[in-house]
Amino acid sequence: MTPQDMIARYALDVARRLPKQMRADVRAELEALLMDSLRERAAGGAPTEAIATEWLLSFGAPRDVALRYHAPPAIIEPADTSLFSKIAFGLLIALGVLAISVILSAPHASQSEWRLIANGVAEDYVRSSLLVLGILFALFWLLGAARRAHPGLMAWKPGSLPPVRDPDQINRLGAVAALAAWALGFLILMQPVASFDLLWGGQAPAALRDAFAYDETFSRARAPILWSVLAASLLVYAWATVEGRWRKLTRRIDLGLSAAIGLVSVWVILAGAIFEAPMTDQATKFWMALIAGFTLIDVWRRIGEEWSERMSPPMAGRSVGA
Amino acid sequence: MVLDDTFLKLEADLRRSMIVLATLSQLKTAQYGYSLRQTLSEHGMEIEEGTLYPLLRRLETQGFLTSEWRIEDGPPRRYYMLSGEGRRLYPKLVKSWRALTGVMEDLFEEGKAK
Repeated sequence: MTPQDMIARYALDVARRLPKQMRADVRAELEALLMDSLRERAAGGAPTEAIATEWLLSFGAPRDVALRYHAPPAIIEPADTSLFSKIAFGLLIALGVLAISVILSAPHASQSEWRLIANGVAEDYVRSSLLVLGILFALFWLLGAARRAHPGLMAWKPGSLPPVRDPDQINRLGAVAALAAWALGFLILMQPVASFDLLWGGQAPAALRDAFAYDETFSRARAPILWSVLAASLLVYAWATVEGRWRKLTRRIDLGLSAAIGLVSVWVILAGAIFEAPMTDQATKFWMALIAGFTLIDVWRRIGEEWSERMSPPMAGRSVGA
Repeated sequence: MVLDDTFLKLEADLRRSMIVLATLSQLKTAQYGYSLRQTLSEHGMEIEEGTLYPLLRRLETQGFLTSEWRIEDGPPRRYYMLSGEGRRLYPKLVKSWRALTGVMEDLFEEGKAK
């Protein structure tokens, strides 16, 4: 390749990355300028391929040079990158938890049956992940385009700033309501048939009693452990509510109990039947797996927060003492 | 070594802020990219060609320069010079520059005194 050819190719490579209307002009100008510089570098002699190579390398990669001539708008604006990554990551994790919940709750008899279900769910996961990412890309691209087209419409206003919240502060009224709902749900979970009887004001229909009858092994071996960690978690929440805020100690006990709830739930799902009726068993396992998955993700997030709190100076309003 | 690299980066940042003004200062008469770089270089203002040539285009797009293809002593070249708007902008930028250098000098003197 002659140095002239190299320069011509370089100018073409830069120009083809630019909008159509400026391509020919930039190409001709750049080629002329680069040739002038090349002749200067050859110091009166004939330019060689080595000189041209060295010169073009120092001038920059065509994609970088093209970007200096014309910077197209980003598909996802740099300011939105972090938000996009968070949402995309969150959705992929959520889909993953959903997929695992479907696999764990699917009725299966043999190893090959299980493999078939897992393969089907994995394929669905890949397909839905790509769809979700595609929609997210499109939404962020539209957001950027709308901002550029109507800068005034989406102008930032101090009034739209999010409030600064004390993460350890507990709203007692809301917490008491949550505790009451949680306690009621816990009682129904422990004694579903008795709860239905109470609701019916006598004996609930036989079909309902059969559908929600716990498996005998579950009731004897696994339920006491599950109820214990759930009850302990309820008590810690009640303790923090009485105090009006989370302290380092209550926060960490709650974190440990949340991890225990997630892990015990997974064990319960894998260990065998929960309900005698297959349909109730399958549905319960699905929802339990979903809740356990999100609980464990939340535990992971909170461990990260605890860790960064240890590494950084105390945050305003956050309890650091036990 | 790290200090040298940091110095080079910071110095490049400083130069970047002056490139527009340096370029406008030399375009009261028409020049093409290569000759402009040589003129600036002769005055001690080294600017990478990969930075200068696209800058001329951008200033033209912004309306501060005009350009035309000319054939003088050699192949066709694109010549740039200040547009009407560029002529109005340039003295304003020079005034701001002088005010800023005055402020910076004061800051340096004050820093020395401390």
